[in-house]
Amino acid sequence: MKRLFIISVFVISIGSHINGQAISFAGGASFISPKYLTFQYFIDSYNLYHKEYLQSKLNYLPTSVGEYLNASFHGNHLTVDLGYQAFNMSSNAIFINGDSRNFDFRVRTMDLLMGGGFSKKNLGIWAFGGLYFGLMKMDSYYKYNDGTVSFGLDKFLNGQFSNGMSGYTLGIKSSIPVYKYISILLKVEKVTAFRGSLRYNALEDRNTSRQALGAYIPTDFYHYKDIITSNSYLPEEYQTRTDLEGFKYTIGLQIDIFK
Amino acid sequence: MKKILLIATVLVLFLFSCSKDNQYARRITGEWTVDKAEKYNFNTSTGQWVLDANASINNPGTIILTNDNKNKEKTSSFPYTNPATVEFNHNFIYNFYSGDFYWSVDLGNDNDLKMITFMFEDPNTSLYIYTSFSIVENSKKSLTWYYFADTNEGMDNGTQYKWVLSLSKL
Repeated sequence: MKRLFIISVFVISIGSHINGQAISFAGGASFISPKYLTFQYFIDSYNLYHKEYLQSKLNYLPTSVGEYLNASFHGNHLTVDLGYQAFNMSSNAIFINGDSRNFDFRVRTMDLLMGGGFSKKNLGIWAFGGLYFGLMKMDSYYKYNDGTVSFGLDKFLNGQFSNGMSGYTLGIKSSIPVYKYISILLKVEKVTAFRGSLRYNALEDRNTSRQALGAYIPTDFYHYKDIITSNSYLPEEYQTRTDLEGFKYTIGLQIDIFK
Repeated sequence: MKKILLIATVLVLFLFSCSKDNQYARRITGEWTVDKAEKYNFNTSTGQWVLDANASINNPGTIILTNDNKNKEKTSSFPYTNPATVEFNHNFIYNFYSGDFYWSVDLGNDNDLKMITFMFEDPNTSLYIYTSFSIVENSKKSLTWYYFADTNEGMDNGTQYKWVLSLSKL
């Protein structure tokens, strides 16, 4: 995803430079306060099912910080942004015997935003909206109490799951001048996931050895247990999706390259 | 213009550079001797793994991993296409005895080797049978694999035993 971002910025920058548009690059940190509905359903049912055996329950994904890169192509009143964000998040449950169930998420997204506002001498404020797309990867593994990790077929929930993610974002950004061509970039946005066809956004294990029973993370663990027992397939509507969304806050340093 | 072309070339090479799992698959390709296979049972009352010395086996055999740069390539007939040959003198892991297999490796989010999976097609049922090992240690000359067996039908919090395989490269 990062490679695609760098290539895209490179190509667009050449075009913008030739056309004489102003270009700014920014780097910094994004904070996401996630709301992940289908995975939260899974967490609730998993915790309830294992409540007698857990010393620590699975947690909802916490507020996380990640890398942020952005290229802005702008005039005085309009801005077009191409951004890249990377987040790593995790959730784990610890059993009384010391074993643990772990989920490590890696989310990489690119967004294309358009906005309107005003700017004067690097001081500016814009409202924007746009689309994002990206990739979510999730490692689900079981850690035994001696520290050994199993990604293997001994546990149905083990696996390396992934799929694309997409949605739209709305927000406000501001730049505050610091020194000559350098300014501080501040952004607040609300990220909302598209809930289209499950085929394109269900978290799916890419390892074909688990394609039969354990290929998906269930939204209802009780139902999943019945499915596993009866050797059936997990229906689409009971699969966890890549519908991660929430509020995102960004702070970064912005440098005007071509002005 | 030359600068732009140079940067563009570097970026394209960056974009299409070799995948990490194929690099690891290449690294562990070769003939491996399994020096020992030790069985550990999980004691639920103490929460400890206990070595079952009577079940452990010295020099159970060899595993030959061949790499054709198609780690986890999926086709309609065979999900895995890297061939492997296993020659064991003991049948201690279910569905993993002497014969021909296909194999692949999986990396974790930290881009390190996590798992190797073997597959064969059962001639009686035409079903694909899989066996996976967690890779606990990996270097160019030695590997440690864990095979976990679960008595709780694949659900979490089950009681288990594990085989620890120590491999060295011939």
